[in-house]
Amino acid sequence: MKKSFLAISLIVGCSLFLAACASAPTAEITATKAAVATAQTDDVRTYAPDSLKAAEDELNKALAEVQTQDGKFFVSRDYKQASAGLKSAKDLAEKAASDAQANKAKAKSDAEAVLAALPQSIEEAKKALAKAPKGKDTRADIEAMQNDLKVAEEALTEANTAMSSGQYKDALTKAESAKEKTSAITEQVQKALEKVRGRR
Amino acid sequence: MAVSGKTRVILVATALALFALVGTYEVWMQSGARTRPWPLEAYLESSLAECRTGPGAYAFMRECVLLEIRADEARRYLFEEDRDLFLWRDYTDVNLRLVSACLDAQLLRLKMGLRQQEQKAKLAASLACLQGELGANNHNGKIWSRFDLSDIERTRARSLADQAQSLAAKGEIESALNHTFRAWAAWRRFNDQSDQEFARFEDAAMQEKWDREAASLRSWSSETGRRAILVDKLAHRCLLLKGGKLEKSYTANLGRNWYRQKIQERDASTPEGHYRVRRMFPSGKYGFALLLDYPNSADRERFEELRRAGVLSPTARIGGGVEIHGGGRLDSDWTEGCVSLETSDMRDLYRRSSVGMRVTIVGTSRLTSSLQGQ
Repeated sequence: MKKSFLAISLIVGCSLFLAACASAPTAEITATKAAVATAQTDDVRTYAPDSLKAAEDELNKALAEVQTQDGKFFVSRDYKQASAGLKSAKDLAEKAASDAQANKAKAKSDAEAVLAALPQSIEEAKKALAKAPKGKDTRADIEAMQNDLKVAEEALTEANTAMSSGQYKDALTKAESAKEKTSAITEQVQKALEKVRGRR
Repeated sequence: MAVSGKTRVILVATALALFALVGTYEVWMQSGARTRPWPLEAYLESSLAECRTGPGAYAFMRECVLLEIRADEARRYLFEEDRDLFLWRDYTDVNLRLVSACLDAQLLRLKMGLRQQEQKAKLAASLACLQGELGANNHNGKIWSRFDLSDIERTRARSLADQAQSLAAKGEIESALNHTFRAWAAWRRFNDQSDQEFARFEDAAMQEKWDREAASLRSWSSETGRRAILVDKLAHRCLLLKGGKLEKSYTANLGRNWYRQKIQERDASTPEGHYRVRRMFPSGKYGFALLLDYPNSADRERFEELRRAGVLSPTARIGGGVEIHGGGRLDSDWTEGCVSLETSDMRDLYRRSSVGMRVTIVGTSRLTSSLQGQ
């Protein structure tokens, strides 16, 4: 009776002892580190820098907690908080990657939208310039507008190059600049034509 | 429950063994770095990624490669330690290597940050300077800077400067800086072209020639007591002289390429030389007008010479119909080579003019300012 009581006590004690010896969540650490590393790209740093920073900070915090627990006596180690932090860091890294993807897609579609409308806008400006009232007193203005149109065409070419190399912000800026110029030309010519019609 | 003596001995011995184990463990833990440096490793990875992909990373590629080598070495030591039995693991050396690599990474990040700050400061300064140069009322000590000259390079510079401004607002520092430099290059080309075009206004021989022509007109007016017109292209003034004295002074608009000597038809330049009023029109397209006898013999001679030299095409024409007329605007050189005055000024000049009246057009003359000073 006494022997069996002692054996049971030892088995229960050992089980509790082993249960208390929690080990570092290495699988979670590896997975989270991999997720953060995947997110650490040029694109994410460009299009979702804040989300990436949040993921990196969360990972560092969780790993500091892992090390703190590693340093404790093995029976009192508790990796629950570290695990939660790691999970949160992994989620944040995935969010950063998806945010970057979404922001990049938005930048791309914005640039594409302006770029798609630009050739027509340039054509309209060209047609308007061709129709512009020609005379000695308008020649200087027409010459200035022709310069503007030429620069707008250059901006379109550069925007297309930037677009094909994935520099969407550059492409958008150039396309917007060209659009502004061509719209101004069309508007100016329109006003001049209205003025001429008014004189008649 | 009674416990026998033997059992008590076993329990005490077990307790002592446990205490000894805990004590040994604590001593072992304190005797070296036993915990795996997870945060250091992660910090190094983050720093490396930032060095690889951060702003202006391309400028630090060599440093980044060297850092990767150091980090690889630290990682190798870390994995070697990981492979050891946990009792034999000691991360002291690994920690040192990782800390050292982290410090290097931090230094590189600082360098990148500093460079970014420098680039920002450079961008702000060069953009502000460029905008100042491109400003319409800018005076950088050059003659041409007083005039709003229409030129493709100038338009290009303005467009690129606007794009740089927009990119800077979006935080695209490198790209904004690149656009600023390109804008500067375009502006420099415009500067060089303008310097070349306006060099003759600073040429002593040309100035002397123009001064002589203006002085000759003045002395003729003084001797005869008659009226004469002096046009100073650089000053954009049309002076009416009577008896060698200034009777009236008007603001004049000139041809779009007024700073050049007129050579041929449609070059939009205003001619230079001695002319006479050939005819007077009270109601031309631009109101009152005085038709000049351009081209004169000197113009024809120069035109033929340039055609013979092949500078002008054989089909080139010398042009004509250069007038002093109304329809003038404020601060705009818009004509094809004529001199244009404001309608009220032109009416006044017309009233005081006559057919055969002498008109001298010069690039610039010291006489203009001396007459106006009087």
